[in-house]
Amino acid sequence: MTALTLARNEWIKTTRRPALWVTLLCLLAIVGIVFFQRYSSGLSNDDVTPLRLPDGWAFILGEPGPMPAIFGAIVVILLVASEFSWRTARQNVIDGLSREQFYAGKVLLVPGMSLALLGLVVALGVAFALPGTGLSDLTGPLVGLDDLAFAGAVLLSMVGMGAMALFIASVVRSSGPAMALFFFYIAFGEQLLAALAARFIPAVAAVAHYAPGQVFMNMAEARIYYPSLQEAAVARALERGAAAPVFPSATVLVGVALGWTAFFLLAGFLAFRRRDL
Amino acid sequence: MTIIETRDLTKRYRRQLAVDRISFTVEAGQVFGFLGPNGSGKTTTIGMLLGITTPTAGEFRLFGEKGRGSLHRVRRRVGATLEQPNFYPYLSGYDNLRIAANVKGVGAARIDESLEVVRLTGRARDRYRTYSLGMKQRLALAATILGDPDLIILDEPANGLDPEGMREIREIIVELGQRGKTIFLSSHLLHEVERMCTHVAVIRKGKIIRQASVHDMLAANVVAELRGPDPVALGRAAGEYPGAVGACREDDGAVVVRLDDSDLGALNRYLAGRGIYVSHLGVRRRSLEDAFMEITTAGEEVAA
Ligand SMILES: Nc1ncnc2c1ncn2[C@@H]1O[C@H](COP(=O)(O)OP(=O)(O)OP(=O)(O)O)[C@@H](O)[C@H]1O
Ligand SMILES: [Mg+2]
Repeated sequence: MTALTLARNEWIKTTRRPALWVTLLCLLAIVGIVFFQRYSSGLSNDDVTPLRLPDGWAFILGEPGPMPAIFGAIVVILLVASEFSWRTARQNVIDGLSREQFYAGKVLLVPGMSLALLGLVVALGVAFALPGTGLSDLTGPLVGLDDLAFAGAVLLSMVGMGAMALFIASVVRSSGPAMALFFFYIAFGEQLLAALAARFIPAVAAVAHYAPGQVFMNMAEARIYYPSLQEAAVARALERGAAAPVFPSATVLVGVALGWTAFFLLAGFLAFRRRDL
Repeated sequence: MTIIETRDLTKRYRRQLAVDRISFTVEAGQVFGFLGPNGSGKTTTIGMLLGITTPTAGEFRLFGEKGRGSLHRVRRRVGATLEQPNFYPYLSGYDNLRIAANVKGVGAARIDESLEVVRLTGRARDRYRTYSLGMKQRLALAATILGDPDLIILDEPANGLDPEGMREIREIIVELGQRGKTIFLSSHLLHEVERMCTHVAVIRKGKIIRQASVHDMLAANVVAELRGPDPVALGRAAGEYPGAVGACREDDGAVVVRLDDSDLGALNRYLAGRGIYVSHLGVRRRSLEDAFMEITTAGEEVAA
């Protein structure tokens, strides 16, 4: 049993699943609208520079916000929880996978799905940005180091959210309730828990923004990775006479995100292994 | 060679002792029927053998091996289905088998062969969702034999099939048995077990109450049918026979005696010794069903 075999089976299960394609289309439609608005205002409005590369990367990667991560999580929940409701997880193990191998297949799904979704979003963004990009009069590289760092952070936020989804699906084992729990948690649950915890342990308030949902959602923000955007924001604030904004450290965010991701993958495995199939 | 061996295997759910210190052995080449009414613990027992359900106590060996790592290794030689067929509804039968084949490391040729055996080739490219119950059961059987396993474990393989479907499944199982495969199958259909199995264990309320070869199970406790000129005297004498478990007189004058062995000659000598001569002495053909009813009802009385 090799990782390749696991990947091949996950590929069959995933790509033939109609629910996956529906979810992907929804994501592309939402992101497509965002990109199209920016594209058309670049055409019709003289004050707005057209969407173009390389300066459009921050927009393409950052403007969809947490959408790709959330849709990635939905797909992970759908694909993992149904293995329990159809009892195919059971059959996979009967057919000869160890529980570790079965779970490893699902773990592969998380970065795989994140890469695929991010790739689609980027491809769509590039499609809108290419008409405005004069490839012949490019002076620097098409993709800068800041762009790569940002893309990596967006990918990590998607992987993190996917790991959280895998954990929830491994515990709840049923897609409806798992989905509900996931959305409740990222929309209110986490803040609620943080506020509650802070009442008893005041120190929690200081680190509440390192809660996993916060980290995964906030780290996909362009300004954290582009010094030029930060300088512009500081200049605008000073112009208004306001205090200069402070930006979270990218290194710390990435470190915390990696930590939470590892935690969710491990906790999901322990929850999965403990129970009968 | 011993293929399956359990010792005091026990599974307790929160409020339910589902399997209670079960011990049994299945030898190579046996077609072993695991017989019990609904809720008696058949699926739970099989689940433990397959690593799906964690035993509360006791142990078992497959092919002489125990322990997680070794069991995982020998499970390559096992093909099994637990309870209803479990497949991806949106995939075709073929793709479902492809996933199992990848896990088992067998090629496409085996998929085609297995589909052929269960006569599903024509519908293999249709989605599993669109299959009838009988087709789903047959796909499960195809998945079970896919890796050409030495041990085949089937949990109620004929559940919900029509007589024709049952006959087909039975033929396939009998033929696998003849090819030397060890087969462990659970059922509450006694008739089926009787026709397919060489050995049987009867489970009730999580306990094994009887384990024997089908032949012995049928031969033990022979039911003798007697007729004679004086049914009343015959009935009384037969009831007093030391080897009789019970006797009764039927409306048509026949006396039916249940013996604790199969020695009709001894019964006849005893009656002759008391001056009673019978005009007819025969064995009532018993099906396993009767034996089963008897055993399980006896269990009921003991439990009560
Ligand atoms: N996951 C579970 N949680 C709690 N109790 C369970 C669970 N699975 C089975 N049981 C209980 O264990 C007992 C044995 O169930 P099991 O499914 O093994 O019976 P069975 O012999 O396969 O029955 P059937 O012929 O109906 O399939 C039943 O009382 C059942 O309610
Ligand atoms: Mg059962």
